[in-house]
Amino acid sequence: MGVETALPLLMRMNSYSCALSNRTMDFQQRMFDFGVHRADPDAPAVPCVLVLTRAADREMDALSLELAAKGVRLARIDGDRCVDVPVSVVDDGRITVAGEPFAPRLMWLRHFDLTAIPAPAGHGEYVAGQWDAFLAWAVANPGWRLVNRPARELDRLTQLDGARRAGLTVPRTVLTTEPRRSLSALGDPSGGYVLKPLGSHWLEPEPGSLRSLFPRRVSRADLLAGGPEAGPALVQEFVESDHELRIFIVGDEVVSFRVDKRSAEDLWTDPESVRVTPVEAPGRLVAALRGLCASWGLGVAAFDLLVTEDDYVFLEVNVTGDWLWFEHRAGSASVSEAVLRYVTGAFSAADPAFSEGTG
Amino acid sequence: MQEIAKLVLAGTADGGALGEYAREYASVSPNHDKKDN
Repeated sequence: MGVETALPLLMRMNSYSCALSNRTMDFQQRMFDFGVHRADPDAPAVPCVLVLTRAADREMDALSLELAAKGVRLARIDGDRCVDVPVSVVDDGRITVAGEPFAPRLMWLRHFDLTAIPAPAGHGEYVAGQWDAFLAWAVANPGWRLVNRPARELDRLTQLDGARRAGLTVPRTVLTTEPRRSLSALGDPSGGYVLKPLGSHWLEPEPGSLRSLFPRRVSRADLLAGGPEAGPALVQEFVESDHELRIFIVGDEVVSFRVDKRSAEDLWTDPESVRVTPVEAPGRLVAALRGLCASWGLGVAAFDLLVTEDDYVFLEVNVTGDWLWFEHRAGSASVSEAVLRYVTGAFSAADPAFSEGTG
Repeated sequence: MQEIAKLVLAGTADGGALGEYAREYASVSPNHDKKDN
């Protein structure tokens, strides 16, 4: 079978799919629906936190509500709703979203994925290309302070390289379009191998329909059986571990969870089987992760690490990671509270006129 | 908007579209079906 027709091994080994609604639950957006808030295009631009994401971003729904209660506006452009929401940018830095002028003080690029845009038939390439250029401009705009460096600037190889330089243990890794060729570099580890994507853990063949690309444990025989592939993937040695850590670095704050699961995809396919417990992360490890956040330009980051008998093994950092599910399982609101403090603090620093409590 | 947000957070927003929103908001449990990247 040739490269053109062979289904990549990672796709063959993933069958989980899910649908994401584009119905917004964002409080500040829904205020328009209720007639509580009306846009005035001639009003002075309102200082705001600008979020570029998608409607299913529940973390931002919660943040929108909490910020509203503090009198902070959150302007939001969802990739899966953007074709129906008018957006204009004026060259003095103002941006008008749904008819309301805003002056962003802080910008958070999260799940605004080009694949989520429901472009009219025949216009897909144009629409995606224009929004892609908008995203490039938005993250480069010196007037908008970023919460995080964009995820696509921090691929998994770059992450592993940075973590290694920071003194953390990382799994031996090969990036290849020929998974069988990774065997000579990785040797014959007793636990086998892990195949994972270099990019996103998800494909979105149609807007709102997601298909998984979860890391999969594979054997030597699996790798030998596969041929050349059209796109590169990561092959890593499988590292035996006792459990995982999910460590959130939120500005100066740290929230850590121990995660006990049988496989990587349990988070999605069997979430009730996953145990999440608040824990204290060791200072040495936290110091290394803080250093990585500083060098990578991350204000809010979610790190995944393995805990082995005598070490911590860096797996990846999720630049647009979620936290509500982990909190739900752990019975905690620590990350949400830390994110609210971080965003409110960053907004206040950028907008001295804002005084918390007065709106 | 600020006072209404406080009502929703306090769980005391009831009646009409706002109450419906508050109930729907509270009923959606977090899941991991998202691009956690």
